[in-house]
This record gives sequence, structure tokens and C-alpha cells, in this order.
Amino acid sequence: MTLDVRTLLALFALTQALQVVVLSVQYALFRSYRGTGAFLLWSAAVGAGSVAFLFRDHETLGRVAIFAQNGLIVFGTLCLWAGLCRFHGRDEDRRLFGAVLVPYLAAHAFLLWVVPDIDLRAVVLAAALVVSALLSARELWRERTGESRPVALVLVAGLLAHAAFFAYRGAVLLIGAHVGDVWGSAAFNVAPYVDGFLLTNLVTFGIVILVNRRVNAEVREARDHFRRLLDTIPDAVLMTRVSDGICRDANEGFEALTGYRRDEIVGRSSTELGVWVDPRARDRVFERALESDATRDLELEGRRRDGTPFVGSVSARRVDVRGEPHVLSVVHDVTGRYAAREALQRSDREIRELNAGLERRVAERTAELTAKNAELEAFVHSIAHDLRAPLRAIEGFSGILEEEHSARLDDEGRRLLARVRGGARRMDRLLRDLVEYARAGSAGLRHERVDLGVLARGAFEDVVPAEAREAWRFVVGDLPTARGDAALLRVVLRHLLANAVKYAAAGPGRSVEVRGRVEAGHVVCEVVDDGVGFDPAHAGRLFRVFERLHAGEGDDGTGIGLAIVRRIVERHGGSVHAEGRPGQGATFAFSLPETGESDA
Amino acid sequence: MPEEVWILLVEDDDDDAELALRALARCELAPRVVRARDGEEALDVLLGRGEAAAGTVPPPALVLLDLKLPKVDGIEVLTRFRADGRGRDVPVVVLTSSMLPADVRACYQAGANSFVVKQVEFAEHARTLREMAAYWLQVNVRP
Repeated sequence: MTLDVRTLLALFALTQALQVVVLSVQYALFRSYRGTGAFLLWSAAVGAGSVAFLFRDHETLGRVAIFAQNGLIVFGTLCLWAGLCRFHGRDEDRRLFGAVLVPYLAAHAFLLWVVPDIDLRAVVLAAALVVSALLSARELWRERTGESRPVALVLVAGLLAHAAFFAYRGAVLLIGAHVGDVWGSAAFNVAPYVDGFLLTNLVTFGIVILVNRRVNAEVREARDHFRRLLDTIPDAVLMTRVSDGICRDANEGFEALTGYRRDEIVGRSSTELGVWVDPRARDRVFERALESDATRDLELEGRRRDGTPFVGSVSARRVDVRGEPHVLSVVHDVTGRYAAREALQRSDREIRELNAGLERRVAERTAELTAKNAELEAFVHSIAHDLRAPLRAIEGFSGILEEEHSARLDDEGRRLLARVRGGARRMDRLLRDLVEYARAGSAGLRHERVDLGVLARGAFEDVVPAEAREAWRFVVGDLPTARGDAALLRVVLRHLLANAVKYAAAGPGRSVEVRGRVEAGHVVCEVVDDGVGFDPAHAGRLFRVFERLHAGEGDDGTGIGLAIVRRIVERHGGSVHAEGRPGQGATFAFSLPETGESDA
Repeated sequence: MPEEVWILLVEDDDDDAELALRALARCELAPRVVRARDGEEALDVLLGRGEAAAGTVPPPALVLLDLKLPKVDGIEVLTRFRADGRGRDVPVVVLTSSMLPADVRACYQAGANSFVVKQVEFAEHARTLREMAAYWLQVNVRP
């Protein structure tokens, strides 16, 4: 068999072109891997070099073509070394790169143009190729680890063989052999092309496999990391195919949450296992995940393998696996939180029920009390009504007796008759006050703005007849506006003024003053007289029913007035108090909350 | 012959009745006063039925009505009197010793023209009655 250099060269150029295509595709796909660009450059440079060879006999461009041919080949093989360095994650030694390429190009140019010598050129080329092949082999040998080891070793062997071949060729040329006709079919000239043909194919395949292996390793690693990540997550993670609901993957968290082993769930559907109490709830999760791509924190009730319930907060996301829609769901166990919330809601409900019960009971009691009060008031009215009928008879008939028959009575008889009528009148007042006292406890309380000054003046007019008012110094100060029941507060002022007038009647100035102020959220109203006063030690007794400090001062005191005052004021949420000293007048005061809250 | 002006006093208590009669006797007008002792008697007179009705054909010019009455109580009397055609325009003054607000309300609802509390002091009470009679019989204009 005769091997024609031209044919070989054409074949070589062709395969080189194919390799350039392959390495281009690889570069396009794995640009992120360093070195793939340099590999492409290697292949392209060597290919271009082989094309340049075809022009070496050209009249004018021949020498340039020869220079380009060998220069490109040496540059290319150095690029292979640089690519391997980069692929292994480090920068090539640029100075070494230059230290090989630049002297070679200089020597090559010298032997081409200055002292043309084809044999020496071939020797220099062989030396450069040996050096670059050894550099590449050394680089591969260094990194002959892991998944790339077999490929690296094969490539090292190929590169060493290639280096050995060119070392031999260089040595032979150095000791006197000649290149001769470069186009001839002598084995000596054909061999480099065969070597180049084999080596470039071998290296290209090697590079493809190396990159492939690395991709595989990375994918494996990524998958492993993903798996570990999945199993590290304490939540349950499920990957479910949407079309049939079959679970494609589950993590340890799922095993921990549900008690099912991974191999029990993978290949089956969670509804088939009965993980979800309401399978439609899971469908809703799917729908939402598919509709909006992702969904978060939907609470689903589930059942563990042993039947115990749990509550999961499900977040899900649509994921496509080989074009098929899947849902990746993460289930966070919120059973505890859920139970706590339930308990909280339950106790909240219980408290509300208790409160409602309490309110109901308070309302019932209040209603009962109101009814009792009304009953009592009606009773008091009825008693008063019945008692006043005989009183009217006593008073009326003794009055008629006095008017029509007094001529037949002596002075003592008339005096006694007057006493009878006085007694009847006093009892009448007593009954009126009793009725008022009962009413003060049960009448509905209105809340309105009350002008105490107006009430005080009106009450004074009730208490002191018009013809007697001249004799009084009655002063009403600047009184604040109060909130409460005007009719009842007028009763209060009437009793306080009646009391003041009664005791001030004997006072030096016959003076009564009503004054007021606002103090700590209360409206305070004082009725001050210049009367006989009282012993402060007895102040506490003043406001009790039928208590009177001064006995025998005529028939106009019933002992109920101040008790009525206290009852009304306390129903307004206020308080009463009295200050006095014997002979120095008295001050009776009541205070009402400014806000008007009352009847508590 | 001019129509006789008379007053119907509905009062079960003899003492109160006598006091009222004495007080009204002192009126300028000195109208005739017919007394009914209970609610039933009052209705007989007012609605013109039975013995009691004899000689009382024109309706009274004024009715003084106590509330707490035997047999038929005052409010019932008032209600039935108002329901009857004859009683529609006759002034009715409730005269009682009750001051229960509920009673006051009920009386006005039943159609009372006035609500007066009986006073214990006779002089006052008598004056009130006299003035009232004068007002309803002389001042007030009826249809």
C-alpha cells in the first residue's frame, strides 16, 4: 500500500475540520468550563496548519505557507497544553508558553529565510513538538484522578508515543538523514502525518470524554447534594407527577412525618396511602401550584402510618421533569402549633362562654334586683297611701274641729288640738320622704347635662317660701356642669338646702352658699351654712336613715333627707361627705364623676 | 228649667268622702254632690243603670275619682266610662293619695283630665278641691 502525502493531508484536513466542529459545539455547550476554548484553538490551529501545507510550493507565498504551517502546529500543540492546564483549573505558564513558541518561530524563520535548511527545520519542529507533547502529558499525568483517570492515562500514552516518534525523527535527521521530497511516499515523510492523524483524533475524543466525565461527575454531585439537602430538611418533601398523582420522590423528612418508608410512597400516590384526610385538599394544593406556579402555607390535615393525625402546612411549586408537570411540595409539621392554636381558641371560646354566662347572670340578677326595687317602691307607695288616709282624717277632722268648734274648747284643748294636727303633718312628710327614698333607689337614671346652678336656685325656692327669702343671704357660686339625672339631683339639692336652711335659721347671717369645682375627674358641689354645725365625730351618722343629730328642733326634720341624698349620689357613682364644728356652720358636699358613669 | 249641675264623687273611704263633701260645700256654686262607694256603683250612676241611676239623667259636670276602689278599680271605671258615648266629654279628675308614676301614666292613658294627689293638710286640700270644682264647672268650656 502506497500512502500519498496529498491524500493523507486532505484526509487530515477533513478530519481536523470535523474535530473543529465537534470542539466548537463542545465550547458552545460548556463555555463555563475553562479550557474548552483553548482546545478549540488547538484543533483550529492544527487544521489551519495542515491547510497551509498545501501552499508550500507556491512561488511567492510558499515560504510564508511553510512558516504558517509549522508555526500554527506548534502554537496549536501549546494551546492543547494550555487548555489542559485551564481545564484543570489553573493558568498555564505563559512564560513557558512563550519560551517554547518564540525561539521555535525564530529558529524556524532563520532556517527558512536566512539559511534555508529543510532538515534542520524538521529537527527544530520535532523538538518543539516533543516539548509541547511532554508538557501536555505531564499536565494529564498530574491530574490522573477520579473519573478522568482512564482517559488521562490513554492520552498520556498517546502523547508519549507521539513525543517518542518525533524524538526519534529529530535524532535521525540530526545524524544525517534527509527529509527529501516532502510529497513523496517515503515512510519517513508519511509517518508524521499518520502520527498527527491518530493523535489529533485520539486527543479530540479524549477531550470530549474528559468534559463529558466532568459533566457527569458534576451532575452526580449536584444530585447527591440535592439528595442530602432534601434529607437534611426537617420538613417532608414530595415530588409528585401531576398527571396521575404518583409520588416520584420523597425525603427522610417525609418518613419522619408520616412514618411511611420512602420505598412505600415512591411509585404510589399519597392519596392511595391515605396520607391526607381530605384528598380534595391535596388537589387544591396542586391546582393552586399549577395556577400560580407556587403556593404557600396551606394547612392540610393528614394521617400517619399508625393512624395518628397531623397537620401540615404545605408549600408547593410547579416543577417540570422532562417536560412533564410535577409538583414539588414541602410539608411543614404544624401539629403542635395547630393544637396550641386550637387550645387557645377553645379556651378563648370557653372564656367567652363564661363571660357570656357571667354577663347573663349579672343581667338576670340586675333584672331581679330592679324588679325587687320596683316591688319595694310599689310596696312603699301602697303603705304610704294606706297610712295617709287615716292621717287625712285626723288632720282634716281636727282642722274642722278647730275651725268650727274652737269656741267650745279652752286654751289647753286648742293647744292639744294643734299638737294633734302637727303630728299628723309630720307623719305626712315622713311618708313622702319614705316614698322619695324608695324612688331614689329604683327610678330609672337619666344621663343628661345638668346645670347645678339652676337646680340649686330652684331647690332654694322650693325650700324657702317667697315671703321669707328676703331674710336670707343665698349665694350660688360658679357651678360646673354635671352629668346625671336632673330630677334626682334637684331632690339632692332640695334636701341639702332644706337641711342648711333649717340649721342656718338660727345662724348670725342666715347665710347659705352653694359652690362647686372640678377635682380629679369629679364635679364637687358644696352647700355651706353658718348654722349650729355639728360634732365631726358624728359625721358618719348623718347620711343614715332616721339619724338625727339634733333632737327636738320642731317637727320639720324627718331624718330621711340626707339618706335620700346619699342614695341618689351613690347611684350616680359619686360620694357624699359633711364637715362641721359645733357653732361654726356646716358644709355638706357631694361629688359626681365628670364622665357621668353611674348605676354601677 | 236649667239643667242641674252636679258632681260625682267616687270614694270608698267615708272619712275622705266627708272631708271632700265639706270642702265642696264651701264652694260658691255649692253643686250637688253624688257619692258612689265603689267602682260598680260609680259605673251604675255614670252609665245610667240600676237603682243608683234614678234621678241622674244629665251626666255629671265633673267626676272626682279615687283609684283604689272595691269591686271595680278607678282605672277600670274610667276606661269603661270613656268607652261609653255619654262619658266622652265629662271631665274626670283622678283624686288619689298614690304618687306612683305608673299610676299617673295609666290614668292619663285611660282618659283622665287631671291627676291630683290628696293632701293631708285639710286647709290645703279643701282649697284645692274648691278651686278645681270652680275651674271645671265655671272656667272650663265643654263641647
